Amino acid sequence: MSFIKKYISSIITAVVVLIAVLGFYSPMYAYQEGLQIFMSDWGFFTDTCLRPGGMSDYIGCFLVQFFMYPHWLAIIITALVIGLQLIIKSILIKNTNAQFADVLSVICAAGMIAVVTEFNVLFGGCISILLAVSAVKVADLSKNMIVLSVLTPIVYWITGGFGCIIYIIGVASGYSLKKAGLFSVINIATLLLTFLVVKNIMQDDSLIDTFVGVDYNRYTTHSCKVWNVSIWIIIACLVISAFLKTFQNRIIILSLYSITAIVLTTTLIINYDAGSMLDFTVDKMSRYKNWGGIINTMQNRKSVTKVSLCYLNIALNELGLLNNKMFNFMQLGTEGIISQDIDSQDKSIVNSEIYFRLGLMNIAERLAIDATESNQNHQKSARQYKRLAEIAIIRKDKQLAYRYLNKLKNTLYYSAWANRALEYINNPDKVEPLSDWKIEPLKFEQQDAFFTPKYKSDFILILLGNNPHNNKLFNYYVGTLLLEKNIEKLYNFVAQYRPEGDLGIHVYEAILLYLSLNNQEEFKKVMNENTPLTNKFQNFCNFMVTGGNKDVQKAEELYGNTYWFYYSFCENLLPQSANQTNIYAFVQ
Amino acid sequence: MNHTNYILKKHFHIIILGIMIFLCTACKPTVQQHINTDSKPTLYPDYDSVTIPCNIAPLNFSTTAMDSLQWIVAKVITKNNQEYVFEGKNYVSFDPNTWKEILENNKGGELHIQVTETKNNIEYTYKPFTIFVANEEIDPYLCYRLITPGYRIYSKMGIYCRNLTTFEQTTVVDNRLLNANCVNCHSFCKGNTDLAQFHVRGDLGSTIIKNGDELTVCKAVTEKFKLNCVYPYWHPSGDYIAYSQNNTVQTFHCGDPNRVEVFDMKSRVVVYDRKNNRLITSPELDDESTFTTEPAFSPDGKTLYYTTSKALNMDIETKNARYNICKIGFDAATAKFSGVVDTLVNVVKDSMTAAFPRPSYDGKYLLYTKFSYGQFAIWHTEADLWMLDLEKDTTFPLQKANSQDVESYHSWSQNSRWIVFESRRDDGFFTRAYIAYINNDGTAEKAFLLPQESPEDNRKLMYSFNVPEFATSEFKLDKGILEGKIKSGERLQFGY
Repeated sequence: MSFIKKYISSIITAVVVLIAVLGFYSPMYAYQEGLQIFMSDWGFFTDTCLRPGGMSDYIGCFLVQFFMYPHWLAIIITALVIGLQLIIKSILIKNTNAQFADVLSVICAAGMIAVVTEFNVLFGGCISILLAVSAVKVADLSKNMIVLSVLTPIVYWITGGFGCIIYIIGVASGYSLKKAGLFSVINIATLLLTFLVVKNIMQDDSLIDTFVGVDYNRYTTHSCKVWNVSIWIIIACLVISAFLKTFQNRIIILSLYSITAIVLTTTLIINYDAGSMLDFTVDKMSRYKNWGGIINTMQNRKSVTKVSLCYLNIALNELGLLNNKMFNFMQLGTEGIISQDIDSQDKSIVNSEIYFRLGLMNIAERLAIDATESNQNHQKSARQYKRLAEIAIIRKDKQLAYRYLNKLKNTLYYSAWANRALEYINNPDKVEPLSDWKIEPLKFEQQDAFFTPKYKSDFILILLGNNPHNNKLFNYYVGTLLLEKNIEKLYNFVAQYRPEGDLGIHVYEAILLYLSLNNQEEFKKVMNENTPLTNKFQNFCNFMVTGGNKDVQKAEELYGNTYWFYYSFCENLLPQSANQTNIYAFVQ
Repeated sequence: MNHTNYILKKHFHIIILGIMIFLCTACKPTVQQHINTDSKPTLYPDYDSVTIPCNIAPLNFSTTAMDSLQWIVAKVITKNNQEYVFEGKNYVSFDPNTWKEILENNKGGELHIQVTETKNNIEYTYKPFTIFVANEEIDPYLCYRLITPGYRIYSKMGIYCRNLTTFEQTTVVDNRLLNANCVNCHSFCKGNTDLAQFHVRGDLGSTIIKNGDELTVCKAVTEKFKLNCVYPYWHPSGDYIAYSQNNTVQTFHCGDPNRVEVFDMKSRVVVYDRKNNRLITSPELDDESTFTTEPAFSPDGKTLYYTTSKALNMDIETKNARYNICKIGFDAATAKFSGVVDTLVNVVKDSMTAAFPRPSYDGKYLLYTKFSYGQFAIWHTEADLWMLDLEKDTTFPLQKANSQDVESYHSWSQNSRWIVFESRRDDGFFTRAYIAYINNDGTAEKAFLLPQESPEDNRKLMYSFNVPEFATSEFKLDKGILEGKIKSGERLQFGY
């Protein structure tokens, strides 16, 4: 009981972290794992560590490997935040009373929670802060200023410039004012001298980069305000504790707890991007080919993103359900099936998946490389190396596959897969290939084409023309035409090529709609067949001409899983008269 | 002190040495069977029958079984029947001093190397392979860009300088210094890195000209010539730099194994007059009805070589773009062109195209890349190196240097005996730098891969070598000054 009482703030903080991480942010961390590679070889160690802050990056990169697994993720993040809180508390407790130290440490921990839930943050930065405060704690072992000053360059090398400043302030806060001033001056001078020496030796990085060292931000063009807040909170708490040594006002302390809780909760709520989390969730499922899981996740969603739709349509296509089920879900036009915008990293990743699944290996390869090169912190990606190795295996580019597999062999979680792949390419007759290695690349014997996704269905038609019996490609072509609302082209295509088998309910819905608008004779013939589909269409038309065209909610309730609803109400590419009464008036 | 302690203390270093030797030999596998094969080993890199300079770094090598090797031994037999033995666990590592001595004593001769490798406790001894040591040295440095074989997006890249007599590589400029902008097209005046230029592309876009310790940051786009200066080539006097100006587009094949197509929508050739800070051209080099690009000055500076093709609508006629190599006279004293154009290499008549004409420094030969269409060879697997004999006016492929995959971007050493070029022959994707010896008749010997300290370094490196250029001295820049000048925003505007 006394243990709980003593550590109640840490326990509550840990619970908050677990709820945030496991409950809300878990998919984000899994996605982050896919944006880096950690290799156990000496070369990776030297490349990463031979610069200020590199060791923190190395440790951070090592731990991020485990982010694919929720239980490890929870342990790591909780250990980071609570570790930071406990270490800061033990530092502050030397300067001030236990209660004040406790609340200040909780404020610092709250700052770190805000940091770790920010996508733009790199974990190495978090580790550098933890190591910096740990260095302050280690400094407790010696009161000798000279010894502690000698530690300054070491701390700088391990944690970078900002970490070293935290160290200097943290140690100084434990001294009297005069000694603190002297210590700070000496060590800031030592820090600057070390920095200048390192800068001169390295001559690789810019002034600021060499000083800062650690990669704090994933996207260097977008700096994270949370870092500014979090680091300055820690510094401020260290300084405050030195000045308010006997502070004991219970009301203010309780208020600080409350304010911290409110600010943190508000920050987490404001910064929570449900769309991005959805993208990360389905992205993770795609890595395990959990197509059913993706479909279930996207069911009944009122808001979706283009990236998540791309994954949904991949999943539907993989299960052969695309043209039967795609309009059971909210669709946002052609960007949700085949993106013309591939400039961003997440678009490169999902589009690489699309083309990989379709067998367009040149483009899947190119986008996988774009995805990894989009990392502004210059990290490579084990996930993309795996994809590139798969493409090389499929193409039987043995030497190229070796290159990627030799990298993956040195990783923790991809090594087993890499070794299996190596066995397969060395003995293809004796080792069973994984299903993805059996994907048939598209052929271009008839006519090669340049990659022009801006032409949407026309581009896919070229691919289909070269590969006429490819069902997945056929479904994508038809699906794109449906999303483009190009029902005339769809009708002509079907009429001309008369593909065999079930085309999918949405195709028949679209054809019926086309006939109703353009070929009354044929339309009447079809309607006279009196099938469930024609009856439903009749009902839809009646609904629309009796005011239903103005009642989107009702229309969605009754006909939301039909192509007619999409055609009539989807804002993108709205045909001129789609939601007006007269186009359905002929049915009466 | 007792006798035992005395012995230990006296012979301490011998004991330690003995323990080390024991440990080393203890690492060697136990051989259960010896097999003498009738074949040569499958080397990695393939150094069999290559001709190497007498000052090159050690050609450390292994075999294709590198990953499963337990031990490998190389016995080097020289022309005087001297034998040297080198060994290692996964690869043969030549002692640098001994290697230097071997090359020095065997200039113009052959080295016979017998390899014995141990796999699964079975020792295989192969027939010896040969390395020819040329009398001629190679330029001591090689500068190149390392870039991922990416497409539109790149992260880290840089220009590096490698000492060819050792394994040392230094960073000339890493793009992380320059807001991750692209750095490219480094070029030197006759291999002299004190007269150099390179481009920066991105928000800090500029052309950097180095003259000794002085760096000038220039803006090459002018009101008259609205395109940026791209492919550079220095006039031997150092007073001029020839550039092409290109509007380049990159697109991607869906099925073609060549993957990428790069072509110009528009191009011309200009010459930058450094003394007067102006760009000059001539109607023959700036003609709307042609694409003109990839200029190179002759070693006497009196001729400008370049490639040219009919201007086409490249949106639809990409595969019809074919370039010949032409030349035009240039007077350095007056900075004027002769106005007379000669076609030196007409490959268009054979439905082929040529790129990157590069004359040898002795003026005898012109090296170029020949492939099926376009002007950007590096993604064309059929691209090969060809030579034009300027005296005899004959052309021929460098058969021994070429491979089944792409060869492109080539550079001459100052003594015109060595060329370096990019090739994708290793895995069809990552380019590597290959060096080949050029005989007196212009033919090439078999090319060899730029040696690395460990053969594994070639496989581990996930960057492509780009624009390999020989240099006679190390290419160094003061990065602090470079960063400051580029980021200051001040530019010397090229005139016209």
